[in-house]
Amino acid sequence: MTKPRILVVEDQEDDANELKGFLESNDYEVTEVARNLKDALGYFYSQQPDMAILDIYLNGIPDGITFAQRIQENPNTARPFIFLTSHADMETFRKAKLTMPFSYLLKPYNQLELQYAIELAIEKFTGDVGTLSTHSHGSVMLDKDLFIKNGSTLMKVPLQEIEYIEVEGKYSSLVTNDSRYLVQQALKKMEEKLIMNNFIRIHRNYIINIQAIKKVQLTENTLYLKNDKPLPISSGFRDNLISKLDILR
Amino acid sequence: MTYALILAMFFSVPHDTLELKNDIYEIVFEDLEGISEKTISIEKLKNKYLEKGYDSVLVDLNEIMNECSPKEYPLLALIKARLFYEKGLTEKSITQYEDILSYFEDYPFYKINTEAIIANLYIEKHDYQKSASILVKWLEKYADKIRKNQLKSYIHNLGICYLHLHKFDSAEIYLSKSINIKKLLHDTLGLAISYMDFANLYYEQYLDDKAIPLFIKGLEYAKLGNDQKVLRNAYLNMAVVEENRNDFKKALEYRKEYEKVVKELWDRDKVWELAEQEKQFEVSLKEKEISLLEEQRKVQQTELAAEKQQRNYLVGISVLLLITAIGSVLGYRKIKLSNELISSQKNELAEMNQHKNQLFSIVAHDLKSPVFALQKANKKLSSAIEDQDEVKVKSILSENEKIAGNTYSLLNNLLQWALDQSDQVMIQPETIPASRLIEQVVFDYLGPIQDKHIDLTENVNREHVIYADISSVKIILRNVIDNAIKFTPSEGKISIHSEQTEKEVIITISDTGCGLQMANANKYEIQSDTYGKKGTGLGLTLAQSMAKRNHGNLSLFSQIGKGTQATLILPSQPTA
Repeated sequence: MTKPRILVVEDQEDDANELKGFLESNDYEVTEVARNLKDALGYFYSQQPDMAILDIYLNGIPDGITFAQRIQENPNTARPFIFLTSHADMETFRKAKLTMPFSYLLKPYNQLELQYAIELAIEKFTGDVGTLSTHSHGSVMLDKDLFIKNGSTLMKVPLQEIEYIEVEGKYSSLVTNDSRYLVQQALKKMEEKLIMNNFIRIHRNYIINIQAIKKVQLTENTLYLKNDKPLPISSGFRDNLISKLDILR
Repeated sequence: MTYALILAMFFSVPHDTLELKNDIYEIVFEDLEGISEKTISIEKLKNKYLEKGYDSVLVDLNEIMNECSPKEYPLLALIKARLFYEKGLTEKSITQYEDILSYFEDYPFYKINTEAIIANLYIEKHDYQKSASILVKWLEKYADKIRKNQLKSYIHNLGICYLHLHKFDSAEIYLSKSINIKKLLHDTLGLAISYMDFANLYYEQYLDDKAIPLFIKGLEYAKLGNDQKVLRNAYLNMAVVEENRNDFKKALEYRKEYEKVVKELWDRDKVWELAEQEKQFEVSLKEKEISLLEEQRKVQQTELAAEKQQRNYLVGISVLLLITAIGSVLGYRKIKLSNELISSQKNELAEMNQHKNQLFSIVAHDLKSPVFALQKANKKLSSAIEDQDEVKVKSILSENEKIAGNTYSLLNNLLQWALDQSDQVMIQPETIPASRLIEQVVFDYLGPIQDKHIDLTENVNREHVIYADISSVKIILRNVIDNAIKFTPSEGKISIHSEQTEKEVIITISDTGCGLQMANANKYEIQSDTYGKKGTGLGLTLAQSMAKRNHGNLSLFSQIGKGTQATLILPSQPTA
């Protein structure tokens, strides 16, 4: 598990510090505070943050909007973003809002509002509207990471850290080497994306990370993970597993 | 070919017989129409001739003769000769007739008649010699071939010619021939004339004994006949004869008879004349009547036209009146409508004016006093810092924070209100969990809530989502919650809960505050809060406006001493 990484683009030092403080106290990592467009773009491409929080006006120029437009140009490197705005530049913001349906924060904002804005930005970006903002245990997959909401905080779990996923009715448990995260979401929706990232279903209740397999005992219909934890293989998914393993070897 | 055909047609004229006609012209026109192709011109010519418009006929005739066929020429020339005669140009007429004669060698009908006409014309010219020579030859050629009744006048005429030429022997022969024919024909009038002419023949020769019985015979026949002029001449002859032989008594008797006939003649003429005049008078009367009628008709027409015009005017006027009436009705309605509009606008204006005044009072009082308070607090603060009174510093700072917070929210409302008034609020609805927004707003009021030891229960289902614009809903919630906190005394209770209906989410925020006094059926009076401060009412107005902009509604229910309940209803899904 890691913290979601956020790039702050803000030219006012006080505001930047306040925002940075809010984010860090809410378990986010601030990759950098950029004070102009050029720096912001440089940091964005070199540090590859998970998202950005942008003040619209940088030194009196609406460069926040320019930045947002730039990072959206390439869909592979595009990331969610939040506009920070005050009443004074609401008019400029309205125009931008019509073209980019992401999140925004009206100054002054409190921690809850900030948190809500971050959740909205991510879920709107991945197309899972409501997944994070309306559930206390929602999760969203962004690139090769899962963003999992745990109560009021948002956690980032890289897919490669997940050993297997156990489906328990309406909930699923994501099991890593050292933790277990409960997710309030049926995995069906996510399964497709997972399979593209080296995951395979071996049982009605289990999807496993192929990288986490230590050995397979076909006679026992059992699979052993690297930490020696056994998982059952159901006959329906057995052939599929064998073929996947053959390809890999 | 054409020539032969025309010739054939000419030969076929039905009147090519030895027959004398008193007027050959009917036949001339008939034959012309038979051979000519200029039917229309001939028809016209004939009609004009019958109407005796001789000058006009002559003009047309010359035109036709300029381009006529050889067959048409002699007949047209005949007409021309007649026209000369009618115009009194006897000599020219004779020459014309004599010229045409050569064309008639093969057409006995025209030859015989033309020669007869020439003879008669010479008599009229008193050229008896010429006439007699023509008549003698003429009689030689035709006497045996023509019926006696047609011959008689020509024989008589020849006799007269000889009489005038004093060739009494020849005259006697022809006159007696004429008398014989007339006797055969029982032509009393002809006999009367012949006897008298015969008597004159002898009388001229002073053969009174022979002449007188003939005069008497003439008179007898004249009496039998019915020609007054012949009778008159007969009486006159007798009167002269008796006078010459000195029988004055008889002469006088004949003279009387003569005058009687003359008078009768005159009377008859007079009667004729009178009748004519009467006729003319009547005609003129009729004409007058006709013209009168014409005038009347004209008058009627003009009257009719005038009437029509009048009617048109009437129709026009009534249409105009109708239009005016409709116009005025419409105008009245428009005026009424615009009056209604004006009065509603007036109310609106009054309300806006009230808002404006409110704004001034806010700016003047509500903004001035907190800033002034902060100024004062800062002085206290600096002296407290000098005294190093940490407790005092803390309490002043927390007080200042409150003042600043309140002032900020007031300014925020003012700004929103200004945007709202100028229709600049942009509503971008999204699906939002109501609980998330409520907790975000409540989060800002945690300080005052703790200060007043207010028991806040938040019972909002996480599943209840609203479809609304985030910023504007926050404004509503902020104002309602702010009010609830302000009007709720320490240790009071505020509870927020939600309810989901089919299409709406109902959020109820109730407090155990002092309650509000009704100003009227729809409005509550602005009241002092628990700090003794009177609000502006602006926040509530703004909140209600925002609720409407989100297709929702905000209502208050308050009872003095029991608290206030604010009910915010918002759609849970996009409204169609």
